[in-house]
Amino acid sequence: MAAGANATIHPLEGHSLTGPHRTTASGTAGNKAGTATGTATRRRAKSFLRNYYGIQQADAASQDGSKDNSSAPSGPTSKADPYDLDSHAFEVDKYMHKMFVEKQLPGLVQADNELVADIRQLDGDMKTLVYENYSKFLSATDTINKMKSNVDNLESEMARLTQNIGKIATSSSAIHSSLGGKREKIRQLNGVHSLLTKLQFVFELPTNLHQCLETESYTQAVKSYCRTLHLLQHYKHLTVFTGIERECKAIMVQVAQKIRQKMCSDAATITEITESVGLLLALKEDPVALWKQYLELSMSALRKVKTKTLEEIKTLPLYSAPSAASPKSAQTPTPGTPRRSTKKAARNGPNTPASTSAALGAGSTEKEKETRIKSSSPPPADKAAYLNAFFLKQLEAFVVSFMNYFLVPTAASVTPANSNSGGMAVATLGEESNGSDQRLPAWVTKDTRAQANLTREQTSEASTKVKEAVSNMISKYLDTIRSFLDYPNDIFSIEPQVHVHVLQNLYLGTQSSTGLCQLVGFDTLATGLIQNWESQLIKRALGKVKEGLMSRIVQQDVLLAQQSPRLNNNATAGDVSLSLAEPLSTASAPVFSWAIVLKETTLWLLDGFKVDTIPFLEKCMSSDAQFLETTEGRALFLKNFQDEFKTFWDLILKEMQQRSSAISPSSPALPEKEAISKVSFGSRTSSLVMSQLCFELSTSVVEQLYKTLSKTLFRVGKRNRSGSFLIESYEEPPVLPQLQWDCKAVIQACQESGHVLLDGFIARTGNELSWLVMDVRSETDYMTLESPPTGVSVAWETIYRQLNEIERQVMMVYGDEGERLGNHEISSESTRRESAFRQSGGGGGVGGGAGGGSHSGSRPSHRNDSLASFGSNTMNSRFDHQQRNMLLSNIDKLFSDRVEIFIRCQDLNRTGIMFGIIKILLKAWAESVRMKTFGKGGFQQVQVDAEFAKVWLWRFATADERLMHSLLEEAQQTAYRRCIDALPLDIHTVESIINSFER
Amino acid sequence: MEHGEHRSCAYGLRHQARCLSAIKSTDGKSSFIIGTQELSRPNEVHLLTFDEEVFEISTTIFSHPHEVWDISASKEDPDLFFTCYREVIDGKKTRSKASLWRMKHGYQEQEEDGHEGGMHHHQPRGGELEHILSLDIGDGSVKKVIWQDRTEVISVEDWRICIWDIDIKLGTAKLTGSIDTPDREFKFASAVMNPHAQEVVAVYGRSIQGWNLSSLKATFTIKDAQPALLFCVDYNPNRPFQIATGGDDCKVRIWDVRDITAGPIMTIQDHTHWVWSVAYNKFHDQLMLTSSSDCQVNLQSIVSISTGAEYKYDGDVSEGGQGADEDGEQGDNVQDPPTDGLVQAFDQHEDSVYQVAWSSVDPWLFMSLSHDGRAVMNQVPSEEKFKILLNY
Repeated sequence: MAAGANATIHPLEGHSLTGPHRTTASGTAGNKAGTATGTATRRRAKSFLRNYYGIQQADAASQDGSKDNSSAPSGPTSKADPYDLDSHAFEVDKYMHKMFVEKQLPGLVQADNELVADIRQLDGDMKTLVYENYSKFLSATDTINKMKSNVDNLESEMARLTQNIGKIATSSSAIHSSLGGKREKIRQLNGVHSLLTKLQFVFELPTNLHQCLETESYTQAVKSYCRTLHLLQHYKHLTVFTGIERECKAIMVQVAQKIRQKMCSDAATITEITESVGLLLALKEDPVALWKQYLELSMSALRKVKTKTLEEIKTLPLYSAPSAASPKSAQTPTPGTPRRSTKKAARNGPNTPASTSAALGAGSTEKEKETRIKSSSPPPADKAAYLNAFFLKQLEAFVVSFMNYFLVPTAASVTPANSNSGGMAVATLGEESNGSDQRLPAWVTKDTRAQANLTREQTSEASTKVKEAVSNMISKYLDTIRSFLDYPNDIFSIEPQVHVHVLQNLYLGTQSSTGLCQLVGFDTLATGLIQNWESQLIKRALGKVKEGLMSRIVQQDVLLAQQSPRLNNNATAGDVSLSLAEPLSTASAPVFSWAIVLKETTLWLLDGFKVDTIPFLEKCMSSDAQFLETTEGRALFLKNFQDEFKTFWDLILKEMQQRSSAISPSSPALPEKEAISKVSFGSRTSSLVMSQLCFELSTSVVEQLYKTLSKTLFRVGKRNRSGSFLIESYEEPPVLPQLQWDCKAVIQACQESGHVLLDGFIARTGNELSWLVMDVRSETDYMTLESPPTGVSVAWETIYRQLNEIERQVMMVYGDEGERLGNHEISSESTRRESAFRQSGGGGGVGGGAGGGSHSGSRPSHRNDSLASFGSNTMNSRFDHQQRNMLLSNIDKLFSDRVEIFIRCQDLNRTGIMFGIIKILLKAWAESVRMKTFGKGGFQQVQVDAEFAKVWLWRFATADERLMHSLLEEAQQTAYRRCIDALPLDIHTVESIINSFER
Repeated sequence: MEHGEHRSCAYGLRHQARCLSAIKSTDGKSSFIIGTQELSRPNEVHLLTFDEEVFEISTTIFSHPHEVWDISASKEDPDLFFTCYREVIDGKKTRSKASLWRMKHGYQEQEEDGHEGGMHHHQPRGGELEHILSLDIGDGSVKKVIWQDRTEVISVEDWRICIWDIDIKLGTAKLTGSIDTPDREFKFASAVMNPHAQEVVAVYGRSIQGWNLSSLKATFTIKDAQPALLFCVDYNPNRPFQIATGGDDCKVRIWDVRDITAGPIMTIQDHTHWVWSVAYNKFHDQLMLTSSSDCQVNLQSIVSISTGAEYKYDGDVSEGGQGADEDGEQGDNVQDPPTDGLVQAFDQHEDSVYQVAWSSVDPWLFMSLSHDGRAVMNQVPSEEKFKILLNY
């Protein structure tokens, strides 16, 4: 029973930590494991510690032993609870008293029972505890006894071991000492042996060299010789060695000669030459002569290679599809010829049998391998790559070895790295590496310092010479590359892959030719070439667009000019009044088509960019060219493009302005009217057309283009293949910030040019008409004109016809916004004015305020009104009261704004443009009248002309009729003043004269 | 008549007028003569003398028989001047004439019509014109007479330019040579003497041409080099080979006649109508006056191509002429050097200004005349004046 209790309690102990009394962990542990020795001791130890540290908290635990699990509910938290069985402060009397007070008899009995049961259990626990501890004590005693006996045994064992080890040590030292002498001897013998081998080598050297000479393995010979040279030098004082040395030298002279021969032979390849030079250097030949010869020979060899290569690449295409994609069989036919020759070159190149020398052998086997590789994976099948492989690489190899041989100042440290890097660069090509076997054999660099010990001056001389020669070569090479890049007239016919491929090869060439880059700045040259290509490409692409645009403009101009005479002829052939009666309706049809034509042009421009230029350039950019791959290269390209694009606009605008000003106006007063309308009008309209185009550009096209650019060429981030932008064109991204400034500037420039062109048109047209009215050559003698005049002067009739013509052209190009509406407005306005005249019919119309509009419907009555106002005072009295009128008109002028005649046209429509022309014309007339002296008829002519202008030209001057009238009035007054015997015509006479024109 | 910080002085002739000439006066006062142009009223020649102390214009009026189209005062004798005028014959036709007159200052004339208020000038004095000689003009009308020296004058007619030897004492004029217009299409519009050589430069149509006066051969021709009809020309008084022209495209062009193909070396467009007159300042050729039928007179600075540029900029002429402290000798408060461009636009006129002229005495004074008979005396703005004075 006790054992069973024990067994049950133990697990509880482990569990207790998670039990309800966790707060007093020690307490609970105590009360549960009161019977367990381990716990008990632990508790004791803990209580010791607790005492030591003065911790009161768990003092309650001292009573735990007597405390019962079940009576615990009162809580261990109350330390000084006298009713707590487990507490220190437990007072039996109080507890009992409480019990008595609180509980009934059955409760008390129950409590008593519980207490008894608890006590019994505690008793059992205690017993188990004692038993357990006792058994442990027994086993401990046993163990101690065992240990005691074991230790005795150990001591004797140890003593024996020590003895044995001592013995081993003595015998080992004995052996060591006994073998010592022999070892020394062996070492000496070893030394002697190696010496003997060396000596044998030395003694056999002449024979070996001979043999090498015979077998032509010069490399081996030089290698052997170089290895022994220092030995021979060292033992010079011994006759034997002197003899050998002499002998060797003699042979080596022969060898050197042979090498030279081989080097100088025509068939020598650059590889061989390099090899030979290396050997000769190792033989301490005169470096100066050597580098000169080397340079010379290499150059001639390279030239040969070049001509051969150029010969060979003639048959090659500029660009062939990537070989990986195409099957071998398909590839073979194309590069057939060159490959065979390559093989031949590879085989014929090294004349020596492959087995003779190790280095050369390695080289040639490598070559063989390469050729074999090549035949499996085809050789470069396009010109540039072929050129790179067979010429540039050779050149690079030469440069690298030359630098290694002659130009590297401290050989030992730099050379390996250099040749390594060179080799690595070549190796990175991953294609055939002709260059690798041109590196100095390792032994040469390591053992014999194959570098020529040139003085500083000699080095610099050599470097300048070689630089000269190499740059020559390189420039030829670049020329060849350049010749691959042709720019046909139709730039878009270029296959961008081809160019990019060629340039890609060039780029790769620069990447792999560190030597060349170092020596002659090959990379910068190549970058220059690429840059040049880029700008050429862009320039030509844009130039193409410009050309197209210009030719379109010319076409349109011709179209316009063609259209005009037809209409003009119609107008002149038929009754003039017919064209007058319905000028708007006849013009309305061409207006419509003309708007379409202009729209077409802008659309064409946009499409040209979208379909041709941008995809073309994008294609160039998106090809997998490495030189465009880098952000730098890309940025450069874009910068290039941006600049070119801006100049493109500038050029277009410039050309337009030049064109418009270059067409010098025809003689101001051509007698033949038709000639004027044909010659000068046709060319003049080009300014009109171009000005409208400029405005069109500035309002939408430029921004649209820049937007397109923003989302295509200049799109940040990953670029997709071209064409994608067409799909997503519905979204309108803003212009990129780096383009915004450009965009704004171009728009402004376009607008400015538009204004300049339009103002030029207005000024020119105005001037040409003015010349008619100014009568530049004084053909008319106003002094002797008959009175009364028979009709409107010829000049004014012509002007009227031309103005109609010009208006038609202007409307065709600029359109007339709300044309019908405008017409309506005008008519209503004129009727309004008409009624105003009616009201003030009798009153005096002073100065220029009086006006006459005209509308086909209400013309006759209106004219009457107009004339009535004109002649409200009788003519004579009006002109007699000139002084007063002058004063009034002067006052009028004072208060009116200053009239500016040649001024920027702000209303870009029919009204604005026509008014600009009319202003110039009328002012010119007013001015020119001042220069003349009139007779009676002359003045009357002016009167008639002015009335004619009032009646027929009001239509062009709707912008400011008041100005028109004041100018006409001024002309009349001036004429009156400048007339010798002024006799103004009767209103009715004037009217009938004008009516005669109408008929 | 003050205008801002700078003063101007106006005078009304009460006649239409289009010609004005500066008189080389001896008393240090700026004087100008103006001929009126009235077809059917008596014409006058007004001598205006500007008294700077009281800032007033005093006038002497001479009556002239016919309407005056051009007037040019002698460069030496302040009393002598030529007029080009037209007389009407029988009410049928006009004949153009050019005569030399001498002013005879006479009695104090009582005012006739009374002058309008507001004009601050002395009471007009009267005088008489003594006719000395007339030039024998051919068919066309005479545009202009240019004084070469006391004994030689040049007349510009429609279709020819004539060189005359005149003797003032005897009252005779002898034709010594003539140049016909090279282009039958266009009349001569104006001409100017080259002050550096025996050369006359004339404009006709759209062309400019120079002739050597002794050989009567053309020295240079700028033919149809610009789209405008030319009205006026002036020769840079200090710089050979530089001329300025104005015409019906509102632009003033300045040419170097040595290099015609290069086009104008400068083009100025500040007018909005035809340019009728252009005049270099005789003392500072960087100042140029232009007048136009847009009723404005413009004072232009063309320093970058003037003689000023030569010794200031050492030939390194920069357009703007920026770079204030090129030489520190002026001290710290040095004025900005003058720059190219419009210095001031004078808009006191209400009608076309056909002629403008610098005073021959005061380098900063000039007079402009509009067709309505209003003559306005103006000065170069003092700011510009100081710029020029302090920087040269």
